[in-house]
This record gives sequence, structure tokens and C-alpha cells, in this order.
Amino acid sequence: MNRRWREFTLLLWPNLLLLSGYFYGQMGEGSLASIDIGELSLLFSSFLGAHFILKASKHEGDEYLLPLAAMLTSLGLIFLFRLDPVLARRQVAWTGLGLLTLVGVCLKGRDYQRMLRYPYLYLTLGLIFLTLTIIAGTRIGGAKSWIVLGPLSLEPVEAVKVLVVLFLAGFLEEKKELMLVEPGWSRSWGPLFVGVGLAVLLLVFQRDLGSALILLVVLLGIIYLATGKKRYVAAGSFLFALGSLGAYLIFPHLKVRVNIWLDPWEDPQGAGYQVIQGMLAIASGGVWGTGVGLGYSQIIPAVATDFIFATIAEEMGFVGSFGVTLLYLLLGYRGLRAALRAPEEQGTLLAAGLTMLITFQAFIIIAGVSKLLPLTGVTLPFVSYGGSSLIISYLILGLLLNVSAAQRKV
Amino acid sequence: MDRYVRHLALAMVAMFFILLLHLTYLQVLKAHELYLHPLNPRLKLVEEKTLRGSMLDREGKVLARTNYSPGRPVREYPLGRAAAHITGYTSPKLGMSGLEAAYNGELLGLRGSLGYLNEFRQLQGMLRKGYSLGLTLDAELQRFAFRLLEGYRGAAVALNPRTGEILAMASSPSFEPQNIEEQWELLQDPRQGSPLLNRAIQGLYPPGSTMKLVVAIAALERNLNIAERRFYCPGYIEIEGRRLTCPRVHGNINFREALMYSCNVAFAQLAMEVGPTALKEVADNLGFNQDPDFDLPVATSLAPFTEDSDANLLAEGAIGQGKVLATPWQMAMVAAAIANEGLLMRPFLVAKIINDKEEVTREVTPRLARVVTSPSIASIVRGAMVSVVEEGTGQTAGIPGIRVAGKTGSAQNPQGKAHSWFVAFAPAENPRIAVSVVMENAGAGAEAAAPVAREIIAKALRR
Repeated sequence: MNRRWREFTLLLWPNLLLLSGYFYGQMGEGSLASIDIGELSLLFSSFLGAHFILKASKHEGDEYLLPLAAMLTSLGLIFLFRLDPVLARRQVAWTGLGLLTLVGVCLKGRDYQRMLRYPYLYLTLGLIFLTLTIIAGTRIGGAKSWIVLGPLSLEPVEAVKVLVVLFLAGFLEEKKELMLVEPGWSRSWGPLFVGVGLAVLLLVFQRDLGSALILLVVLLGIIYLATGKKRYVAAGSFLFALGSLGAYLIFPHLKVRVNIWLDPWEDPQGAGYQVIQGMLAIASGGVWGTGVGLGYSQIIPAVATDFIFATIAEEMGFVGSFGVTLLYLLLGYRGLRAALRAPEEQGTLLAAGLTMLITFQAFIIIAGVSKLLPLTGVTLPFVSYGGSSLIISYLILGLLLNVSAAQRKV
Repeated sequence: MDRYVRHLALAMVAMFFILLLHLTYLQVLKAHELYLHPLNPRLKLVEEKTLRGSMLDREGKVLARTNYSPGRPVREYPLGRAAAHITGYTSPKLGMSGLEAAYNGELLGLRGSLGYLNEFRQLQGMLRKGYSLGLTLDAELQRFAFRLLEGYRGAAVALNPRTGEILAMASSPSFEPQNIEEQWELLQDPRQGSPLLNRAIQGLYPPGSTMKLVVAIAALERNLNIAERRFYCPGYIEIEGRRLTCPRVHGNINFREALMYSCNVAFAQLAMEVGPTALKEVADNLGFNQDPDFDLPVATSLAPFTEDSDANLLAEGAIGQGKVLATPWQMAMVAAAIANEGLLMRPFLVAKIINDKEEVTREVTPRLARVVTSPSIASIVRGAMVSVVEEGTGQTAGIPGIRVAGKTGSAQNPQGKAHSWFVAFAPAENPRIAVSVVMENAGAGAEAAAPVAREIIAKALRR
């Protein structure tokens, strides 16, 4: 009771944010595209609707998760409206679908242990998705990770990430003892490495380096959790370093990426343009930002998807970018808290894996656009434009809610 | 397993902490600098709403200003080609150069208190106003120096050795800064001789015999009695199998005469006696091998002597050949340091930042850059330099009634005739101007550069 009430009050904040975005647009007297009253009420009712369904079904999930995600999505929408109203309207629809997914997962999948009983199913499904993308995929913006179905472009790789975590959580729970006691290849480590290695390889062939990196880190993280052996992580990191070095030497596009990162100023109007303009946009925001709509980040390629953080940082300044980063940190905190309190290890592995998925993805894209790390094109979870990304993010949120609901009664 | 989850949480916090530090660096510490980066397209938007500041010479004559001819702002440069490398150009399409680029933040009024005032003005829909720059430049002298160089490829730098104020800095060939876009294609043509290059600060030349001044200081620093020493020049010197020659046999000469006649043998010997470490120390003190601190970007002059430099490199370096390279700006500093009793003043071009109400908001005061040598050593070298002009290789720089101290240089180079060098200051007993002139492929120092230096000095002192 108390728990859901807190969720309700917290949900008022993202709604307030949207409302201020609406009034801001009204003040501009049409010079500024912004949320109109229909979209505003749709969003209000979706967020609160999800909350009321959770309440009605007596869901005991963590009360901070949904408001945090809603905050990020609302923030993203305000900037999407400012960047591209057409995309923003679609994103409103995706948000609704995302919340429907969340509700579905929360209602149907509360018994996540049952879900984890079929690890190989998830692995097979994930590999099928990836192979399909390679065969029938379309290259959009560097990575061949899209499947175009009429007016819809899907990015199956978003789902693959979740499927791999589901596989790992189920598989490791089952095989953990075996792996620790008699580390044989054929029955324990073998399938694990073959499965995940294949996924990573496919991603590398698709040139989706960001997703490959995320999968590897999540894999190492989950293995560490399951076995508690630092040497597995060390060995994995070593293999990873070796693999990246090999990839760097073999794949020219990877070399280009790294060189751009090392010295974008070499070709400021060509290869380095995106990174330089992203960095200049972020820096131009200063401490307090220019204010919504007053920045000049629209010239950056992929600004509505991968580079939306540059817009936020410019128009809300350091204060805003600090805040967004903190929101992800809080999300990570609540996710790992759910992992800690899960009644059995499966839940811990699942919650921790999914939390890593979200936070690490946020980390590498924010680090990428601010030139802390080489740029790898992934979305900023909950914020960037993108149907597949948004729906999968809310699916992950639903799974986290389920694990947190099953927590030990203390 | 709980422990491992906590480790994971710790790793996550560490990652985000680094990220926040990085964002602080970008958005707080480095924000202003990156905002003013020439590639930032936001500056063009600001430019459209700003009355760009002017540039004025030391007496207030306009060097650059923005005028509104029918509604459209036009940037005018009254000195045109003569000061083009100093003012630079500004074009929405081609970017900026010179002081337009280096002081863009000030000229657009983005820095300091005017920055806040301008934010306020912009909110009210008023025109923003930039700071104006008050330069140390003497517009007359600048125009004069440029005319002397016209037709040649070369550069001249003149400064007040007492204060470090740059009085003139000309580079030829040049370009018309006002209509840069129309000339762009032509300026790129290799036959034009790189008119966009500011040879005074970006041109690296072998300094030829003007480098002997550096060797002279280093030798005197090591042993003051060198001044009384006698050398024997048989017309050549044999160093580890290689022969370094003098233009003629100088025979028995003393230190003053060695400089006066620019004897290669004597200075090669001195350089080897002094050794690479001491030589490099003096060169470093004069600004060689350092990233120069100046209002415009200056190329680093090189005197790459190291402990294991062989004798040939040292001997060649002593006469300004081989691996030694210097900008005209750098050699002007050498002359200025000797003129100012061994004290090198920090050179500067922008003396005042003036706000839109004609008030000076920042004034640069002369500052000591380095103590290069002692007054007594400086005075010995000065005496020898006076002899150079009165009875030695630099007689074409003599001015009746004024004692000029100078040193010629003829830098051998693969492109053809030698580069003609001359560095000087005057009046020798009370220097008010130090000059360095280089003219590419114009022959010996006395032929081309020395007369140009003489004219610049005469013009400056007559005023």
C-alpha cells in the first residue's frame, strides 16, 4: 500500500516535467514545436495507468523503478519534440506500447523462475534473430542491425541482449555447481562460451560494436556473480583485450572509429565531425545550459537517437547532464538492490544482469558522445528515439519489477 | 553472492564517477575554451547578432572595423595587405585567421563583464557589442615595412626591446583580408608563394650567421676572457673529416673581428669549446626549443643540441645551418635581448582590451620573460655588433648620425640563392628598436636584408 502510494507521488514529477514542456511550447506561440494536449494526456494516462494496474494487481515491485524510467522518457520526449516533432509523436506511441509491455510482463511473468527454465530456448531465439538480421538486415547508419518490414524498422539486437541475459541467468544457475566442481568443457563452459561467443561474433560482423561490448561486459559480470572467481573475469578481460586488438587490426571500420576517438581534429569536417560537434555542443551548454530549444545541436548526425545526450547537456547544462547521469545511477542502485534481495540466485543473476545492461549501455553512449571512450552507436536507454529500444527497455524494467517483488520478506 | 553484487555496484559507481568527472571537465572547466573553438558553429550565430570589435594601432588608427553599409555589416581593413597577417581575415565560409581568430572571444564580446551585458542585450533584442583591441603596432611603420618587402618573399619584425611591444610585423607576399572569399582560389595557387603564411612567425629558416650571436653569448658566459682572445683563420676548418670553409682567409683576428667579418672558423671552434649543453641553455633562454608565448601562434624555433650531438652538428649549428631553424620573430628576440642588456621582455601585440564605452578593461604591462645574460656580456656583443655595421659585413645598414648594431646572415638553402638575414637594434647606446629581416633567396645579408632593416630603423627613429 505504502509502496505504491510513494510510486504515485513520484510519478507526479515526470508528469510535471511534461506539463512544463507543454506550457513552454505554448509560450513560444507556435515558434516552437512542443507537446500538444492530446499527447500530453496520453502520456499522463499511460504512466498513471501502468501505476494503477500495478496497484490493482497488488504488485510488490520496487516503487522507484517506474518513476525513474518515466522521468528519463519524459525528458527525452521534451528534447525530441524540440529536435523533430514527427519522431517525437511516434515516440509517444512507443512509450505507450512500452508501458503496455511492462504491464504485460508484470502481470504474466511474475513467476520469473518459471521463465528461466528454458535457457536454450532463449539462446536459440537470440541466435536466430541475429542470423536473420545478417541475412535480411539493412544497414542504417553504419551498423547492419535493422530489419525493415514495410513502414517499420526493427532492431532485433535490442531483444537479443535481453535474451542473452535470460539465457545466462538460467544456464548458470543450473550449471554453476558443475562448473566450479569439475570445470569440464563439454557440459558447462563449452555451451556458455560457444553461445555467447557466437552472439558476439555475429554482432561484430554486423558492425554493431556497441552491442557486442555491452554483451561481453554483461557476460563477464554475470560469470563473476555466479562463480565469485576474479580469475574468470581476469581471463575474460584478457581474452577480450586480445580479441579487440585482433578486431582492431582486422576490421578497418574499427580502426577508423578508434582513430577518430584519438584525434577527431584531424578531419573536423569529415570523419571527426560528429564527435567534435557533439563535444562542442556539450561544452557550449556550460553549467546552466542554454535553455530548451536554444541550443544548436540539431546539426549533429543521429542527434535524436545516439546523440540525444548532447542536446540535453547543451540545453540543460552541466546541471542537467549531471542529473541525467544520476538518474541512471539511481536506476542501477535500485536494480542491484533488487538483485541483493532476491530470494534465490536466479533472481539475483537476472536482476543484476538486466541492471548492468541498462546502466552500462547508458554509460558507454554518454562516454562516447563526450569523447571519454570511442563512440559506439547504441541508444541511451529510455531517452533516445527508437521503438525497439524503448519497448525492450520497459520490458527490462518489468522484469526488474518482478524480481524486486519476490524479495525476501524482512 | 551478496558480496559479489556489492562489488558490481562499486564498479558501477566508479564508472559513473569517472563519467561525472569528465562531464565536469567538459562543461565547467573547459567549457569556455571549447565554446570559443573556431569549429563551433554557434559562434556564427552570435556573430550575426554582434557588432564585432575593432582593432586599433598604438595611436588609435583603425586596423580593422565593422561598418554597416546598407544594412549589411562589412568588415574593413584600412591597412589592407600590409597588416593582413596580423589582423587576419574572418569569413563565414572560410573561418578566421590572425588576431580575428586568436581574439575571437573578445571581439565578439563573449568574455568578461561585457559577456554578461551582451546576454542581457540579446534578451532585449539589442545588438551585442564586442571588445576592441588596442595593439602595440605602429600602422605607419607596418605599412612602410611591408612596402620594403613587396616583391620579395620574406618577413620583418620590429619591436621595442625595452618593453617587448611589437611595432611592426610584416610578411610578404600578402593577401587582401577584406575579400578573402573571392581570392581564395588564387591564393592557393603554388605560384603565389603561400601568401596566407605569416612568415614572420610561422616561417622557419636556417638563421645563417645571425646564429653567431647566440654562440657569442654562450662563449662569453663560459669565459669572459674570450673577448680578448685571438683566433687564426686559415680559410677552412677540418672537423671529423668534413671541411667547413670561410668566404676568405681571415688570418689573425680577435673576437670582435670574428663577429665583424662573420668568421665561420672562429665560431665553429667556439661552439665546440662551449659544448652542446651550454649552447642549448643560452638558446633555450632566448626562446629556442620552446612553445612561444605570444598573441599569435608562433612556430617553435629549433636549436636541437644534445649531449651526444657530434662536432659537425655543433659547428654547423654555430653558423646557423644544418638542423638549426628559426623564425624571424625568434631572431628579433635575440637582437632585443642583447639590446636590453641581456633582459628579454615578453613580446606582445595586444596592449589593451577596450569595451564598448571606450574604457580600457585590461591593459598588458611589459614583463620580463627571461634573464638571458649579464649586462657586461650584452655590452661586449653589442660593441662587436656596432663594428659589424661600421666596418664589417653589415655596412649597408649604416645610418649617418645613428649608431646601429647589427649582424648579417646568409643562409644556404637547397632552393637557390642564400636567404638574406639581418638582425639589428639602434641607437646602440640607448636602443629604442630591434629589428629582424629575412628575404628568401635574395643573396647575402648585406645585399638585401640589411638595407631594409636600415630603412625600418631610420623611419622608426625619425618619428
